Amino acid sequence: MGDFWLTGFSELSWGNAVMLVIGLVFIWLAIKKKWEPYELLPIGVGMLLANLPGTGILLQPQQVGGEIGSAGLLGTFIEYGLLRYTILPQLIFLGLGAMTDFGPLIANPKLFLLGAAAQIGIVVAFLGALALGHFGIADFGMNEAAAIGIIGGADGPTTIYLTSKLTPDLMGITAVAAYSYMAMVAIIQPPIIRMLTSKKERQIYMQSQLREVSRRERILFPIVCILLVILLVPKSAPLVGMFMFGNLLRESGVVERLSKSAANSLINIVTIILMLCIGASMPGELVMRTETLLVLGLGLVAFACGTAGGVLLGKVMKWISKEPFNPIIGAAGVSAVPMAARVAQHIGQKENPRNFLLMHAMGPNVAGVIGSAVIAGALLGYLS
Amino acid sequence: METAAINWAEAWQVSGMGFGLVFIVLAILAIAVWLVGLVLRRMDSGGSETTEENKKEESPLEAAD
Repeated sequence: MGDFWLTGFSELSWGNAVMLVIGLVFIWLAIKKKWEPYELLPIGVGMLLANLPGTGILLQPQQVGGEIGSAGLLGTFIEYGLLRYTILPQLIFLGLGAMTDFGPLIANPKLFLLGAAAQIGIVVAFLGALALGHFGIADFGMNEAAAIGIIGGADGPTTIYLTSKLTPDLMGITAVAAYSYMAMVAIIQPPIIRMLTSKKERQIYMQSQLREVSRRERILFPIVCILLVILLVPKSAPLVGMFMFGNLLRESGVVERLSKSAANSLINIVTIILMLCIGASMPGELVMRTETLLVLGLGLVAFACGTAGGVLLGKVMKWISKEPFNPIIGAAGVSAVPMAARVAQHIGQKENPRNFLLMHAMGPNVAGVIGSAVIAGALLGYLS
Repeated sequence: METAAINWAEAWQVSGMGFGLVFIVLAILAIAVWLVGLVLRRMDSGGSETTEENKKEESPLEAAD
């Protein structure tokens, strides 16, 4: 009987038990349903490790006074990779840049505006969170509201980066919300797109052939982005700089080993560590807080409003464009790459089997990544 | 229900300026990308026109041979 007190059972709380179940659900969703498996599988395991008591795996070096051998693996990654230096999200962006093809966006630069319009969801959730704080429903100030709002950017690394800088306590829940809603893009977006567009609009045929983009344009694009964006929004440098550096590695064509490493081994290793840390940032106490449900709700509102913002600007562009312009592609401005573009493609093809919108939708999709990094930099500049 | 002191003027300023900044930055980027593409396409088409003219100039010489 005395041995019972040496096991984790004695310290297991109801909150831990609920989070263990949620972690198992995430693992099931990843493996069985194949919902964002690269993210949800390690997040689920991280949740299990965080909520099994007495392991010490989450002890951060600062918590144990730097005593050698006392800090845990995940605690060390969380402290140095996220809280102190936010290394992990920046390295993820490097890898993402090396995997991204900006061709459709370079071929049709006005699609940048759709990526900008879709960031309206961030603003709506930011103000919504502040309203909840104003009425005393939740303890949300400006920093918390920004961390919740950025979920609407539909960009996991950006969410993690901003939240770890402004409100580390919310990092786990905001990141899980962002990745969960990214996985549910195919469920969240279609009703909103259908509500805001007519059948005739959804059937608009766009020429599948995009202008050919030269190698020199592809090489100059990341350089122009780095110079312009960082001069205009200096605090966006960590994300935009790494993103464009990765892209330059890819497009230069002279550093194939580096490009392949960034797009494969580097991003895979960092994804494993980062997602484990995110899952491990979800302790049982979170379940007991109403703020958790409010964050999830506001995140969903942000996502929906971002989709709506992109579609509505798409409609405006349809009216002023000389060439046929299908407003559905505006929904791809939320930076859930490439899922949001695939949703636009699927809906467009369902309405008009001749339509192949994927390459058109990739334009606003990747523009949204830049847009969410810019707004994160702007919020960081104002609030930190 | 207790209300908290939120500085709404600042909140609107942050959100408005943040969103406006995104639009401005991406619009500038769009213009820059379009200009770079235009210049490069003109350079490429200028280069191919020069090659065409050189070929036409060589033809009479070849005919004489």
